[in-house]
Amino acid sequence: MSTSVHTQVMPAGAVARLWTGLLLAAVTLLVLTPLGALLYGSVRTHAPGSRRATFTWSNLEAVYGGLFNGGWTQSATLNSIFLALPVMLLACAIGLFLAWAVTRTDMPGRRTFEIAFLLPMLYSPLVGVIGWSVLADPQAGIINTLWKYLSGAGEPLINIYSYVGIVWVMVFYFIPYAFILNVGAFRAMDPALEEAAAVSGASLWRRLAHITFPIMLGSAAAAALFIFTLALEQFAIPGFLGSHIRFDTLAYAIYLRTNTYPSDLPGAAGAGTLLLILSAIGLYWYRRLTRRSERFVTVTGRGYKPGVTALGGMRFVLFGGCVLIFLVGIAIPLGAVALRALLPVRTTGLDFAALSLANFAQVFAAEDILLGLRNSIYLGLGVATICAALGVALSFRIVRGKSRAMSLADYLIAMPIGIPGTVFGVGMLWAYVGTPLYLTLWILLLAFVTRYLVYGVRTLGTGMMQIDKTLEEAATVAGAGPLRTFLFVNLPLLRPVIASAWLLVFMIVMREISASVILYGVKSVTLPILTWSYLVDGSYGVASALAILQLVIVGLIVLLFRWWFGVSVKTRSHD
Amino acid sequence: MSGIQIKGLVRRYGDIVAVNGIDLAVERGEFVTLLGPSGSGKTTTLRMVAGLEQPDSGTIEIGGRTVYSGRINVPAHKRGLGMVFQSYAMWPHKTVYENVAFPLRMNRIAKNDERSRVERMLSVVGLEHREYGTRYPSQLSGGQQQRVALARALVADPQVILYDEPLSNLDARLRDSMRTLLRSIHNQVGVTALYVTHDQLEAMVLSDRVCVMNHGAIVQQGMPRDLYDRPADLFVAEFVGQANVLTVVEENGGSVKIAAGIGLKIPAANRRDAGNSAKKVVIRHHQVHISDTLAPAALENEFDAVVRDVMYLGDRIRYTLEMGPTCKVIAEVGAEAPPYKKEARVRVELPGASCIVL
Repeated sequence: MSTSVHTQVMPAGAVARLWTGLLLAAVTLLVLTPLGALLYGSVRTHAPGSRRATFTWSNLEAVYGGLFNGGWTQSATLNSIFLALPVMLLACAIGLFLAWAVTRTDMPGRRTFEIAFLLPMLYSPLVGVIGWSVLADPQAGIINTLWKYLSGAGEPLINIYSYVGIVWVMVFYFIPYAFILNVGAFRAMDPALEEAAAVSGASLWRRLAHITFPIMLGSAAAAALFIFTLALEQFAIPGFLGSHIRFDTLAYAIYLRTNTYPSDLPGAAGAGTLLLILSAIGLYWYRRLTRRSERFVTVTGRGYKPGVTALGGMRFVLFGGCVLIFLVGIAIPLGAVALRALLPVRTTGLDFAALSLANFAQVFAAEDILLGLRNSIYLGLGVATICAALGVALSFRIVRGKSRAMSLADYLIAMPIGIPGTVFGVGMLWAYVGTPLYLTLWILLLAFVTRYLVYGVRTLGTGMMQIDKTLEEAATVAGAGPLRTFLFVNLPLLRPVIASAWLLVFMIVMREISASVILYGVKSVTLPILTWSYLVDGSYGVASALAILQLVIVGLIVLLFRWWFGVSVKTRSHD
Repeated sequence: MSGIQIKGLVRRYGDIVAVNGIDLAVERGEFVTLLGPSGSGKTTTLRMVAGLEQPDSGTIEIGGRTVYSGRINVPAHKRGLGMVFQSYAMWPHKTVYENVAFPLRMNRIAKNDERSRVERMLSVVGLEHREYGTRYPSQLSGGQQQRVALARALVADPQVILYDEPLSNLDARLRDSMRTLLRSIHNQVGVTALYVTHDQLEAMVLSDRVCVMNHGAIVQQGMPRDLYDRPADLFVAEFVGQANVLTVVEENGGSVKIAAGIGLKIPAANRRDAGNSAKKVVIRHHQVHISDTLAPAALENEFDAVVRDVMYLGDRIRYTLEMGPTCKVIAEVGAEAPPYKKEARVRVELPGASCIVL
C-alpha cells in the first residue's frame, strides 16, 4: 500500500514535462506563425500563392522610404499619430477624473456610475460611429437639423466627418478603458496617504496636486501609453468617419490595400511591420513604466477601508460632470442608434409615426445576417471556451510551475496584444492563404484564440495567484494527488474567475472588427462585419439594428453570468 | 484651557452604533489612550477628532475652539493637528525630507526655517537628515518609516497629536524600542496626545490616563495603575492585564464561596455590584501566593492544592493549581523562587485584599 508512493513520482514529473513541452510548442506556433508570415509577405513581390512571386525589398522601401519622401505611408502614419495623441490625452484625463470621482469621493451615485461607465465595453465601437453620424452628419444629423431650424443658419453646427469629429468619437470610445485602467490603482492606494496630507494642513486641491495625482502618475502614464497603442490601431472609427474626408490612418490604409481591387498584400504586410513597430514602441514604454511602478502605486496587500474624501457641495458639481459625460459619451449616441434602428428610412425631421420594427424584420429575414449572427455566436462561444480552458491549463503551469520555459510561454502569449488587429489579420492571411482554413470560420477562430488567449491566461493567472498555495499543500497532505487537488481545490475556487475570463473573451470576440475584416469570407461573415458593411453601404437603419442586436446578445449573456456566477463586468480587461 | 473636549459624540454606520455618546476631556499636555478591542469605536472616535470622519451628533473642541458641532465642521486640514497612522502613510513619491517638510509647506513656513525644523525633527526621532533625508520611503524599514511619520506629525508644532495604532504593524522587538522613543519624545515636547491601541501594555507604558472602550462607549478611565488594581467590571479586568475569574456559587455574610469547601473572606471595600447576574471573584495571577504544605496552616483564604501544570516564562513561572474538582487558579511567581514539580502538593493563598468581587 505504501510502496506505491515512490513509483508515482517519476511518471507524474515526466507527464508534466511532456505537457509543458506540448503547450509551449503549440503556443509558439500559434503566435509566431502570423508574425513570421507578415515578415515573409513584406519581402515578396506578389500575393501569396502567385507563381511569379519572388524576393524584393521594394515594399519595405516604399513603406519606410515613403515616410520621408511623401509616399502613401507618410500621411497615414502622421494621421495615425496626430489622432492617437489627443485621443490619449483627453480620454486619459477624463478617465482619470471619473476613476477618482467614483473611488475616492462621496459623490452621490458613484456605485451606479462605476457600472454605467463600463457599459461601452458591451457594445461595438461602431455604436459611437453610427450614433454620432445620426446626430451630427453635416446634412441630415439631428443636431444640425435642429440647429438650422432653430437658428435659421445655413451652415451645420458640427460636422462629425472631420478631424475633430473623429477625435470626439474616439475619446468617448476610450474613456472606459482609461477608467478601468485607473480604477484599480486608485483602489490600491492607501486612503491614509490622503488623510495624512489632510491632517498636515493640505486642502482638497493641494491634496490632489501634491499627493493623489503624483502617486497616480505611474498608473496614469501606463494607461495613457496603452490607450495610445489602442488608438493607433483603431480601425473602425477613423476608418468610417475619415473616409468621408480622405483622412486615412495607417490601420485603415492597410485594410484598403487588402480590400480594394487590385489588392496589394505585400504592401499591406510591409505597412503592417511599420504599424507593428509603432505600437511596439508604445508598449515598450508601457512595460517599463509598469515595471518600476512601486514608487508610484502603493499596494500593501491588505484591504483598505473605503475611506473617501468628503467633498461637501462640490460633490454635486462632480455628480453633474459625471452625468454629463454619461449622457454625451454613452446615453445620447446609444439612444441615437436605437432611434435610427427604429426608423426604416433616413428622415430629416423627428417623425415618431415613422418608427417601426422594419429594420429588425429585415435583419431576421436576410440570409446573410442570420448566417453572420450564427457565426458570431459560434465564434464567441468557441473562442471564449477555448481561451478559458487553455487559460486554466496554462496559467496553472505558469503560476505554479515557475520554469524558464513557462515564463517564455507567458511572454509569447502576451505578444499578440502588441500586434494591431489589421496587422494581425494580414499576417494570418499570409500564413493560411493556401490552406483549406482560408475564408472559413476556422481561420477566424484560430486568429481570435491566438489574440485573446492572453486574457484567459492573465485573468486566471491573477485568480490562481490569489489562491494560497497552502490550500493545495493541505490537500496533498490529506492524501489528494495533483489531479484531485486541482479538481477539488483549485477548480471550485477558480469558478468565478473562469467565468469572468470566459465572459471577457466572449465580449471582445462579439465586437471584433479589425482582424476579421481582413480574414472574413462570404461564408464566414460575423455580426460586426455585417454592421460595418451595411454602414459603409449607407444602410444606417440595418447597421443600427445590428449594433443593437449585438448589444442585446452580449447584455443578456452578462446578465446570465451575473445570475449564475455572480460575475459582473468589473473585469480588468487590459493589463 | 483643555486640549480636547468631546461631548456626546455619536457615530452610526447604518444600524450599527460605532460610537455611542462619548464624553472625554483631555488636558493640555496630557497623554490619553483609548484602549479597546477591535470594533470598540476607538479608531472612529480618533478619526472624528481628526476630522476624517463626521459625527452624527455631539461636539468636539480642540484647544478651546469648536471644530465640530451641529453647525460647525472645521475640515481636517484646518484643525492644526498631527497624526500618525497605522500604515505609516508615507507618501511614496516624496523623499524623507519632503515628507516631513510637507506640513510646514502647507502652513507656509519660510524655506530656511523649514530646513532647520525638518532637520531638528528628524534628529529627535533618531534619523539623521544627512543619511536619510534624500531617501524614498521604499528604501526604509517599517520602523524607520514610522519614525519619519512621527517627525512629520510633530514638525509643525500641532496643538494635538493623534496616534492611530502606530506600533501595531511593527514586530515585537521594534515595538518595544518605539514605545520608549515615543515616551521620551513626549517627555521632551509635552504636546497633547490622543492615542488609540488595543495593546494594554502600550497603553500602560505611555499614558497619563487610559480610557478603556467597549461597544462604542468608555467603560472606565483612570491612571494605568488604577485600572489594573481596581477594574470597574469584568471586561476591564480581563482586558487590562491577566486575571483569574472565579464564579461565585454562594455568598453569605463576609464569606464568598467559589466551590465546595472553598470560601473566601473579602473586605467589603473590594466588593462592588457591577450588575452581573453571576458574581465573579477576580484576582491577578501574580497575586496568588504559593507555599509548601509544611508551613503552618489555618490562615484565612488558604487552601490545599495540587500543581497540575508548570510553565516557565523566563522571568516568572506560571502554575496551574487545582484546589478542588471544579476549582482551578493560575498563579505566577518570580523565577528565582524554588520551583514546584508537577503533581506536587502545595498550599495556595488568595489574599482577601487582592480579590475583587464584581
